[in-house]
Amino acid sequence: MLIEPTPTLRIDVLVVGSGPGGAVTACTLAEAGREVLVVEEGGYLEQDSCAPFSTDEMESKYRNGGLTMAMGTPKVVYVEGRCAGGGSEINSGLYHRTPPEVLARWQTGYQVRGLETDLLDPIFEQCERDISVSYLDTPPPAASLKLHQGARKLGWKSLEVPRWFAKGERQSMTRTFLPRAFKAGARMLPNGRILQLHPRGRRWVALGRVGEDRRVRIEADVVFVCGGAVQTPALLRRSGFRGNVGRNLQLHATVKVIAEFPDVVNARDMGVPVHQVKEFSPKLSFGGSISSLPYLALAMTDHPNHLARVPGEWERMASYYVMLAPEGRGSIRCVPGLNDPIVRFKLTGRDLENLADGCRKLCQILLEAGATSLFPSIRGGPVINSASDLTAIPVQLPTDTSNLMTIHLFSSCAMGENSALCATNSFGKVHGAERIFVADASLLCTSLGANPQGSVMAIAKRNALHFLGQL
Amino acid sequence: MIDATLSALSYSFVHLALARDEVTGRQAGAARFNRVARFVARQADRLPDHLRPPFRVAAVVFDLAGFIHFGRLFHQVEPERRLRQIELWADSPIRAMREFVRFFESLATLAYYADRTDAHSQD
Repeated sequence: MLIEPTPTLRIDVLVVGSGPGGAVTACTLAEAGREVLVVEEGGYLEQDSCAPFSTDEMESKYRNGGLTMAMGTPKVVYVEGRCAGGGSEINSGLYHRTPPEVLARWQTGYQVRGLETDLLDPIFEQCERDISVSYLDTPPPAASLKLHQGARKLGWKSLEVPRWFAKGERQSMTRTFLPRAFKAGARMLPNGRILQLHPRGRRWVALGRVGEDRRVRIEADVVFVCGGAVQTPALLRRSGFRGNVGRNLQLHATVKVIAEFPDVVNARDMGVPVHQVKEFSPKLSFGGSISSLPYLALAMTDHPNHLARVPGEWERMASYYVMLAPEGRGSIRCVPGLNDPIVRFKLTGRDLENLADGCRKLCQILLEAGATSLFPSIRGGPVINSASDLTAIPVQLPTDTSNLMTIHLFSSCAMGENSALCATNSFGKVHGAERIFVADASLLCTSLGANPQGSVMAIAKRNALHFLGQL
Repeated sequence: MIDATLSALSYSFVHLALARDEVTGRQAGAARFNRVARFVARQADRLPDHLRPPFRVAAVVFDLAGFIHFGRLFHQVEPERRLRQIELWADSPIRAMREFVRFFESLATLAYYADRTDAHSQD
C-alpha cells in the first residue's frame, strides 16, 4: 500500500530502497507479521508504464537519467534503477545462482558463515519459484543463436540462461515481491529520500524528504538499508559510518561490439538475447545486448564513418558484449552539500589487457557465426572484417577512446566476519552498530561473473530469515 | 545563454544524423529537432551534482569559443560553421573538450533514432 508522507512516522522496520534486496526483505518481514515501511527514492511505476529500453524509461526509471559514471581512466558508465523495484525493473531479467566456487571464496577469504549448500539451495529454489525463473518456450532470437553457434563452432561452452518470465511477461519486483509485501501489510512511501540515519536510544531516526521539499522524520526499531551498491554506502557514510563502508567497490566492466551479418538477425520486437558464452567464466563472459535501432546507432557513434549504414542495415546488425570481472577496485565517497556520491573505479593494466583479449575472443565467436563486419566500442578503433584483422585490436584497451559501461555493481559493504575486509557481519548487520542491516548487492563479497540479482535476492531472503530467527 | 548553446548543439547533431540518414530522405520537421533538443536539455539537467557545474562551465566556454573561430557566439553562427566547431572540439587533444562534444553526440543520436522509430512521431 502506498502512503502519503506525514512529518513523523513511527514503525517497527524501515526498509530503505525497493530493489531486489529491499523488496525481498520487506516481503519476508511483512509476511512474518512485522510492521514494515519501505521508502523508495523513485516513483511507483508499473513495469509496463513505458517501453523497455526506451528513452522514456531512461528518463523515468534510471538514476540521473542513466548518466552516472565511475570516474577513472578510463571512466566506466553505469546504470542504476531509481524506481519501485529498482534494477529489476530495467534489466533483462536473466537469472543466475551464485556459483559454488564464488561462495567458497567468500567463506574462506571473507569468513562468511551460513553459505552452506543445504542452507542456500532451498532459498534459491524458493526465490526461483517466486519470480518464475524459466527457459524460453519460443525459439531464441536469431542474434542470440548466432552467438551460441559461433561459440559452439569454436568448441566453447555456451548456454541458454533462464529468465524471470511468467505468462509471456517479464517479472520484476513490482510484479512479485512488492505486491506480496503490500498484501501482508507493508507500506511504501515513494519519491522519498532518506538523507541520514541517527541512533536515538534503542531506535533509529531517519531524516529525509519526500518530493522536492517536504521533510520527513521516521522512527524505527530496525533499519534495513537496501539502496544498492552505490546508494547504500553513500547513506551509511552520510550517517557517520566509515571503516569498510564504501570501499572495495567491484563491478563487471563491459565493452560492446556491433556485428553485421549477411542475413537478418534483428527485428523491432526482438527479445533479449538469452545465450551466454561461459568458456572463460568467471573472468570473461560474452552475451547479447539490446539491439534496437537507437542503441545500435548510439554504439556506432564510435565509428562515425559507418553510422550511415545503421538506418538501412540495422536488421542485419546486433550488439554483443564482453564482460570482465576485473581485479581493480573502486570507492564511494560523499561530499558535503552534494546529493550524489562520487564513485571512483580504477581498472588495472591487466584488466585492460583482459578486456582487449575478451574483445578479440568475442570477435572470433562472431566471425565464426558468419559476421562480415565487427565494430568494437573503441572510438576510431579498428573495424574487423576477418580473422587476420584481430591483431588490430590493441594488446591493452586504450584508456582514452574505449567506451566501458556496467550494470552490475557490488561489494561496497562486503559481508563477513573478516573485519579487515567487511563492513557487515555474515548476515548483513553493520559492524559496530545494532539494529541496522544492509540487504543488497553491496554485501556480495566479490564479483560473480554473472548477473547478481539472483544472489542479491537469495542473500536478502537468508538474512531476513536469520533476523527473524527462522534460519 | 546555456539553453541556447545546448539547443544549437542538439540541432547540429540532428542535422548530422539527417545527412547520414538515407532512409528518411534527409527530411525532418522542426518538431523532431525540438523533441531531440528538449530531451538533451532534460538529460543535461539530470547529470550528477558533481558533473553538472563543470558541464555548464564547458557549455559557456564552448559558446564563447565561437568568437575565437567565427567572431560570434556558437549558437549565433550558421549550421555549417557550428559543425566545423564541433569537429574541432571532437578532434581536440584535450580530453575534456572531446568528452563534452561526445556527450551531445551520444544523447542526440539516441534521441534522434528513438524519435524516428516512434510510431507516434509526427513531422
